[in-house]
Amino acid sequence: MRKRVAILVLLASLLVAGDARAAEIPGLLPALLPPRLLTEVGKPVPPAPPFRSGFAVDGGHHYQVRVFTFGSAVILEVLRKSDGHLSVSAYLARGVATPHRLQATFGNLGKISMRFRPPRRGDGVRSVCRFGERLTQHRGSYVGHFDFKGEDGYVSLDLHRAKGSIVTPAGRCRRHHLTQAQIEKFIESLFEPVSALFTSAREGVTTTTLLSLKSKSRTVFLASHEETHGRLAIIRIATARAPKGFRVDETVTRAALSPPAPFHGTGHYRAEPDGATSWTGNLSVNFPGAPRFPLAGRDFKVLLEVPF
Amino acid sequence: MALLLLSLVLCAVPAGAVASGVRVPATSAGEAGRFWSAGRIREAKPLEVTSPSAVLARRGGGERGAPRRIAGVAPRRADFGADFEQVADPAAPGFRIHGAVFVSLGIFGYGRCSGTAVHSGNQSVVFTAAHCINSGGRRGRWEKDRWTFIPAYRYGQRPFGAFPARWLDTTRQWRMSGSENFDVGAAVVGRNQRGETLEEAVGGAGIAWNLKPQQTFDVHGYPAEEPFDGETQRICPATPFIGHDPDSFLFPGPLNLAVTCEVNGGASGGGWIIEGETLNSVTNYGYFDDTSPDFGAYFGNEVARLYGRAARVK
Repeated sequence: MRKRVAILVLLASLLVAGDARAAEIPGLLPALLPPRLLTEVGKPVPPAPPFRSGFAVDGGHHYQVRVFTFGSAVILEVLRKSDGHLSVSAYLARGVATPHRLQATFGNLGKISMRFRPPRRGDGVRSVCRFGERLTQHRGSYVGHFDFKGEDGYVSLDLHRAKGSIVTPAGRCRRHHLTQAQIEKFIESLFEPVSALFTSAREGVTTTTLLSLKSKSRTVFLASHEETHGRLAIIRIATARAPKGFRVDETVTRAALSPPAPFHGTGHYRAEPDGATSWTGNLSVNFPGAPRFPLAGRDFKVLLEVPF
Repeated sequence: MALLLLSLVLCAVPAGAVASGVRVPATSAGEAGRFWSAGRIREAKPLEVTSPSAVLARRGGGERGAPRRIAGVAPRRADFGADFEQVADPAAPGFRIHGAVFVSLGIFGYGRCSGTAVHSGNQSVVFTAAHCINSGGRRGRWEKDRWTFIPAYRYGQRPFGAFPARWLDTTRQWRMSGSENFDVGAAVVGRNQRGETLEEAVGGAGIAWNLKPQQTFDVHGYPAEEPFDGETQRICPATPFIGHDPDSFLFPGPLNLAVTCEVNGGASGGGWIIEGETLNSVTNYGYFDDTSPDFGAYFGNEVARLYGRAARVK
């Protein structure tokens, strides 16, 4: 029995995307993730140097589309974010993911076959320090063909060129040191009483989960959905923060979630005297490509924990 | 017939396969049987994947080659010796090739898994999950102390005796990367208390690799966590392939396989049998929030190489 890896990887990727200039540093993952990620399909890639490569483009309708390598996969991410919330659909396919080549088929949604070209002028190289790791970024363009049409055409792209980069690690660099106040605040947050509601539904290899954590100051909501279609995996994630939206009654037999956008509706938790629990309501979430995705119903198992 | 099978095995061993793995200090079957008392077996905790795909692989091995099968073989004896207690179902043909694996973890107690006897030239090969043999990755620890296979185990009964390991190995990628897509291991075991080889005692499943993932499996194993107790063999019969784990896409190696089967800890390494007699995967893991489905590694070229190395052990 084990934890989910794919969702953690994507979340970490999104965390970084929030402050990095994603168009320039695609797939720049924090150092806590394994650094050596190489493809398996096609001819084995020599082990050194490790790399991350890809590009990001505007997908229209406030969507950003990022294509990058992660280990054996080529990941296509469609994400939309604004203050306090974020939703993303990631399409994972096996393909050729070498530093200079991105090639994969995303089921019947599209495919990519592009090669990296360095800039004509200059070397396009710059160095950045992130999470204590120095990274060398080789900027250039991906040239070839990339077409993608999301479910029901929510995003549609047909490209022959995109600015992107290849990132390779280049040793350690000066860490960002936290101040004493920041450390104390962090430690304090670890011991802050938190109410949690976790619900999940699974059918075969398709899984939907919702986690809500409520502390004194705010409430966070995280929904995810995983599915596979042949040799394509789709992972969808949505997060939101709000000061309210998670209510638990004094008897801890009733609770309700009403998260803000991209969520809609309300989910109701109910515990019966015999210990049986239920999770019902019209709670749903707007994932890119999967609007009004249901997050409550009889198929969901639910767990509520409230601090004393 | 024997010559035909032997030639089939020799032809099937991939070229370039080299002996590797670890030799296990010699332990007699009697000593192994005495060591694995009912009390120690009760204490044995299921071995789990400790760090799922902690470090990702650096080289290949996941490519799919030509499909290949090696036929299984029936046991030499049809009846059980009087020295062994007869048990009901686990000792029946088709089930007796599956058994429980026990291993001593030193100060950490005892561990347990499941395994399957596989036909080979040395008549002594057991397939299981790699994490039942080595904790994985470059710093992986060999779990070789008192590693013992007990086929058809049931409530302390060992109708075919205990088979202590002589040699253990996993796919190379498991030891390099810990990628669960390569979570397959093999053991070569010694003789039982009666002096029989594993294959003489229980027979051996055939093995196949590079087949299409779309197979229908009989999943065997000894789940040991609630509501199970690890004392009986369980089977999910005729359960079809339902897809791949999305996590599997991120890690090196062929995409793993999922079937619907509510197994839990202790069932790791349990054999996935196709067409009644051919091993085509082993149980690797499930998720804590839902024990169904069960995930197993795809048998590709790396498994073929592992089989080749095991079959060459004298």
